[in-house]
Amino acid sequence: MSAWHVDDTVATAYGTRRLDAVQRASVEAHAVRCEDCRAFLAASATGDHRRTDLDLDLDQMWTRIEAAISAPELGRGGQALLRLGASMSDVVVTRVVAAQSRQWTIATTLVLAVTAVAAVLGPVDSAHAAFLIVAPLLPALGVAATYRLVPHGIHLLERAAPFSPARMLLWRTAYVVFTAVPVAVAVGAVVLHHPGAAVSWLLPALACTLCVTAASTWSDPVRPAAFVALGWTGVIIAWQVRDTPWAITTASTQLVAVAVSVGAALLLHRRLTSDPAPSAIGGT
Amino acid sequence: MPTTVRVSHVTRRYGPVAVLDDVSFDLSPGITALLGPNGAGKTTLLGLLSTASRADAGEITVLGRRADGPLAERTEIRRRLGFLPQEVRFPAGMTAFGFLDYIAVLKKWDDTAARHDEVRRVLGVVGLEDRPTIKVRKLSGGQRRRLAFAQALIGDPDLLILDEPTTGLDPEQRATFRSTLSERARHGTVLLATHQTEDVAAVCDRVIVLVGGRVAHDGDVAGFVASARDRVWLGERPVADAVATWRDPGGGVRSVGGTPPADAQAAPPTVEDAYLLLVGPRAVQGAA
Repeated sequence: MSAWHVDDTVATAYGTRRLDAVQRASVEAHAVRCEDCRAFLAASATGDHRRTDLDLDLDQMWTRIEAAISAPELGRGGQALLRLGASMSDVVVTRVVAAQSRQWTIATTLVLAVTAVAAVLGPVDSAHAAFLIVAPLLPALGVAATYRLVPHGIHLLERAAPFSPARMLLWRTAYVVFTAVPVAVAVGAVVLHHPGAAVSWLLPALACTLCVTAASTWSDPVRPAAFVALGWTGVIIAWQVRDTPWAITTASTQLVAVAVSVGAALLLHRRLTSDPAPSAIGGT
Repeated sequence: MPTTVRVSHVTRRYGPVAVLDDVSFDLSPGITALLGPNGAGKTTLLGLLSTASRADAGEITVLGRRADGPLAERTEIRRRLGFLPQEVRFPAGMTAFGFLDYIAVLKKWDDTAARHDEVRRVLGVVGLEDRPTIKVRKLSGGQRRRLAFAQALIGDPDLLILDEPTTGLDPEQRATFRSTLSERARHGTVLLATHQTEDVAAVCDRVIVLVGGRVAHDGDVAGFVASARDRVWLGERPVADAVATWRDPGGGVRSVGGTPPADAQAAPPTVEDAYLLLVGPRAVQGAA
């Protein structure tokens, strides 16, 4: 248990609703675990001068504490999202997306770890090629995986609910990007020993991800993900065969990646704002 | 009585196979049972009504809006719809409250306090009010099914679409479920796909039977049961050409259909008897 406890100032601010959502949730989360603070909050709220002066409602406070006990904890990620301006609804969605995608996150970490080990122990060229195949595809494959990992039945509930399928798609994409890319960048810094190479795959990764996301508005995300994976693997192998393994770092490659990203983003925007809504992501 | 759902000449194909073939019916407030052997198209039909998928032909109107209409129309249907799929697997590590909280968010309950109140309400309706923080994996099969049912009740929807809701419930839970459903039917429409003919007899006003993707029967429950009158027999021995036979709790052998022997007596029919007679051997094979 932390050394922090509710003091008079916090108790008053809590009772008069002068705390923001995150601070309030924090106080309630602490009160759930700390009997002393729970009693202190109750005593503060029942003090005659406060009841008279500040019109506190003990029942409401206990309702809030009861709600805090039963409601899932926000977690650090949730609190960070709230601070960034996300709504509580979005926090709930991302929490579930994260829970559903845990297997993908573990698989991603393992694949990158194996790539890093291969780079240390095996032939350097092969490790470079393996990393440049894998890293840009991770977010793209992740988008497909997050849909595939939705438990049976839940996908039907998502499709039959009024929650925007476009918003769901964007949260899933954001989740895979933010969980995969930082790890991949770190591994890339270890594996790739060429100027600019460690971040050169980011734009191709963006292009691959947007292509899969946009195509997922027409079909099951697995199909475009497989297609993009095959295509990108072919590109890397072709560079290896032509003995230009660092072609990914050239300006022309980066420009092509930008052009594909912009095109896919425009297509995605058009699909998400058109009607009928995309089928594969739940808006049939 | 107002029409809540109108299904008009609907066809749905998976490849060359028509899972639903020119299906038409209307639904009004009250509880309607949807019966049929496995593979008859019940789950597909519920998917169409819930707007989770689309028909290849025909038209479906739900709560006055087209199920295949513009997104705004479908969204409005979804706001007023409660849907329980045949099987619900829960996301790993979620609590009962967390699961319902997520579904409530999907149903656009954006106000957190109101959403949490609603979650607590539906937990109470299904008798899980004392288990909000329990991980779903620690709930029994019956409790999970009740939790899945609870999500369909969020927002007190005008139309409830339930796919085999009583699977896994013990007799007491089924009785409670029937009470809940009867209460709901006073101010809404319920479509109940089930294999439990006792539930149909207990709570439904009307029964639709799907066989091979087509509507084989559509009428009130009493008339459906009456269609089996003088075709159900009690005797010492099974009727040779009966659709189904089993030992009767009161003694003797109950035979549904077929040519009765001289010593057999006509027995009062049930929904199950009528269903077996309508569907024939497919019903028995489907139940196996």
